Amino acid sequence: MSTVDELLNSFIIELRRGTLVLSVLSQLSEPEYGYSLIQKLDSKNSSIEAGTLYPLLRRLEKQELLISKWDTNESRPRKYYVLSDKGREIYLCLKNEWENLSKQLEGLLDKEEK
Amino acid sequence: MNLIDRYVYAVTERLPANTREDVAKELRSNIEDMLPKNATAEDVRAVLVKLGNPIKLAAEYNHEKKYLIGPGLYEKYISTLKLVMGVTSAAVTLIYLLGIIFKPSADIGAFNLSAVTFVQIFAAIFQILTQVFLWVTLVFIVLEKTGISAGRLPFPKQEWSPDALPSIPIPEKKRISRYEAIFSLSFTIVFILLIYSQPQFIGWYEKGSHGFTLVEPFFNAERLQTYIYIVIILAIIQLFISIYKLTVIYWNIQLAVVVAVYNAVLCMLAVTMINDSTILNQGFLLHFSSAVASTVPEASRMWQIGGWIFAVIFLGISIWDSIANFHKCKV
Repeated sequence: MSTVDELLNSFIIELRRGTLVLSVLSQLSEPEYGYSLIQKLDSKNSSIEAGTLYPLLRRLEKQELLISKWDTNESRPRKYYVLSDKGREIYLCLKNEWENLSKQLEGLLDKEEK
Repeated sequence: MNLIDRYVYAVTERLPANTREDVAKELRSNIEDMLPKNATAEDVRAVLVKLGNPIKLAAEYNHEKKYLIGPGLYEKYISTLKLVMGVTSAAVTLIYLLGIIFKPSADIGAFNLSAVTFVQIFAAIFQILTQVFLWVTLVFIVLEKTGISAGRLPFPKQEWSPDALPSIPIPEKKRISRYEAIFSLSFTIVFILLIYSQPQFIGWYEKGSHGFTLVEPFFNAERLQTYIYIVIILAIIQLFISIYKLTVIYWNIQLAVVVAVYNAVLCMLAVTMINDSTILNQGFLLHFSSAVASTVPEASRMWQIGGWIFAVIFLGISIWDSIANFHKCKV
């Protein structure tokens, strides 16, 4: 039985990984730092591992989808990330794609049930 | 705090130097954000456990997979390594045993196999196997990094087109003979070992009281030294070609071009060496002339003529081989 669980788990992880970038981009129209973003996603029932998110933010910055800025005014320095123009453009395209995809899938899954 | 320092260090030491400082600062600030106010040592531990193994986290930061030999070539790499190492071990043992049997100074004579000899053979095998491992690995790294193996050369930018598909059934002629590749691989290894470590083995042998013993080497050792590097380099290129042949299965135009160029260089070297009268050991010539009952100049002339006949045959075979290879690609 453990193999079924393992398989299922790996499929779930793969599914979620596909939506990861979209979820992160969707929450960054306003600047956020690592932990505040985790809390924000958590509060919307879309939790993400800290160990996955922090590297992902840097990667998206390197791909020029995000712009980062160090804020040293507060008690401890924090690195804030926000969408760049390129990032916003890609976010809107991805969002559109996701809506199409979920419609397609809904059609498929509905048929399966009847 | 000490634990956090250690964690941040464990992650960042695995990152490229230019990103280390920034990642460290950010990671530390994120960890501190994750801690409650007046955090205890237990809280710190819990947060670090949540972030997970620093090696894994560093891998997430690095992201791009880095490897020398990818999964596409890995199987071939291992099988080639096994094959080449097996052949080399056998070749080293053989050369070593020959060296004992045909000892130039006939004082010890024939078989003198002792425990010491076996230890020596094993030491020699080990030494050469590390070399072989290095070279085979280098060949595969080149195959991997240049994209030769993925068929992207010599036109790396060219899009793949269905026209590139070979017609089926693929004619048997187009197939690279595995045995031929293995034979040339083995021969090259034995040749490199022989010419590099014991060139005097090629020489004049006479039957003495202890069986055959080496009297005079064929080559003039000093003169041979001037050629040795080019010979070794060519042999290593041959090794490269043989290994490549083992990985691609069918003849392709790039391979035919490389082999043709290689043949041309080999011919030039062969002609130069045959033309060079000083490469022949005078002592060898002396023994030869007395064996065929003639004078030294006559024997020298015989060798010269023999050399030219050899050169012509060599050239002929090389040209024929090069043309045949192109023909095999076209089939």
